Amino acid sequence: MKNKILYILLSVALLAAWEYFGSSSQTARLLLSSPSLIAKYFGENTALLMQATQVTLIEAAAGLLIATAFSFGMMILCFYFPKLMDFVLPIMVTSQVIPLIVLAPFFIILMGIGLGSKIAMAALMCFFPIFVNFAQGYKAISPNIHELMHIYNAGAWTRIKQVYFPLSMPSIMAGLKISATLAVIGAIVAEFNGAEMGLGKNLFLSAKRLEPDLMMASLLLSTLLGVMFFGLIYLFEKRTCRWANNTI
Amino acid sequence: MIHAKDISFHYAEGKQVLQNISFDLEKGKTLAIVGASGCGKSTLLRIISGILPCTNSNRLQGTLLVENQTPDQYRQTGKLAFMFQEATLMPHLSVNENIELPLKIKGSNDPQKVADLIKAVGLEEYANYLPKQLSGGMKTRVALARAFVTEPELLLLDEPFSALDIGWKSDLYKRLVSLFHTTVVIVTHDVQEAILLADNIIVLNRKGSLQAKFSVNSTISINDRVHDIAGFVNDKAFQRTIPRLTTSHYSGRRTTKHQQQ
Repeated sequence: MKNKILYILLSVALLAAWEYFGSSSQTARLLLSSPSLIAKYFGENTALLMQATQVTLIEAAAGLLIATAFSFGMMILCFYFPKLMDFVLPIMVTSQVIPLIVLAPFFIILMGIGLGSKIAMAALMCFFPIFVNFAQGYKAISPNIHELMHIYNAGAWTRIKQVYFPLSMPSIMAGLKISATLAVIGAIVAEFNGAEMGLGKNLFLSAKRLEPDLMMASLLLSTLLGVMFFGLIYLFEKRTCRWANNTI
Repeated sequence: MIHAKDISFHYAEGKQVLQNISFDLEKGKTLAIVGASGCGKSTLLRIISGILPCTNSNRLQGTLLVENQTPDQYRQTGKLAFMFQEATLMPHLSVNENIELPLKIKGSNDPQKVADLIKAVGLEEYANYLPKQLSGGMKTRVALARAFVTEPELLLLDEPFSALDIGWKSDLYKRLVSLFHTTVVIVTHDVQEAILLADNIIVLNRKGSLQAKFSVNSTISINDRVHDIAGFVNDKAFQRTIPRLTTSHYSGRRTTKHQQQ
């Protein structure tokens, strides 16, 4: 309770300082705008901002879903052909050193400036954390459990459904939480490179036109999207990984 | 049920863990494999279960038949159950679901049998609890119930009862074994436990060869047998773990006869 009050007080103090400097200093106003100016801008351009948010939301969500489906598909293949995991996992981990953002122009050239290239970029950003965490969750399963399944002569699908998938769930969720923010970043970065609409496009324009109100409004909405994805996954994790939590 | 003749086993790294082990186990009987740590008793159990892959690198020599089949063939009949030293429960499943799991894997369902087993191990009140909410002894009892849910003909136990007190060991184990007429092989470093639960005992020495065989049903006192077995194991640390038995633990329990190899 004491901490909560402290957080509220701190937030109010920060907002007040932001408002003060945003109103009194030209430089601060140009860089950060001010809460009142952002609110005013938001009020005047709600439809435009909401439309951009909706586009980025669709791109990020679709990218996250595709990456999740693709990771699960790859893992299921690895469950059926365990040697594939030993081959694929090192490649996946090594590929993490590639700054994936540089591939955004590639997708624009390949798929155009429509939704497709943004979804592809978001999916690519999300794929690795989900897959690698899933693989690590699977590898952390006790050898005794594998042997128990062997003794009971459990088929591959039964093992996946009854044991491997549920036991890997906490790791999958950790990967999904990382990917939740990466999906938004992927979509926005792809929009920087060319888009008809979206929060990334807004951010790009705000820099070009020196519009701090648009920049801060888009930035806040992007943050909100990331927080929303993270929150949804967190809630899903609370429901599905009750057994792994410290408290019940 | 199990026929083992001159079994020797080398791991891929070249380490030999078992040398010329021979024994026979009749259906419905319990065999205890006793020995100090690292003598190969768990390896022997894993070979019998068919878990340990016997390949060109992991070499098994000699004859080992379970119901006239190789261990791996017997495993595939689904008549085998195994209980590890740790309870190895699925952390995401409740007590009820953990016990039910082997049935689910086989594609069957028998809620009444699961409920009866939960009652037999005294966990009715905990049926919906998760493993992390249970004590070590409770987890062991769940694992034991899970091992019996498929009514196995052969049950392999790898030092499973360290978390159970002596009362649970004897009462629960005997009740379940007699109920299902199961043949059991139990690996233990606890001589008292071996005498308490088994009909036959084999003692392995540090080199992984057979030191002695006992049949637990004659007129020589248990106290003497315990110290005999401890002596055969020829390991000071192991011998120190053998306390003097209080005969009250074993009132009504058999005494032992042995034949030294």
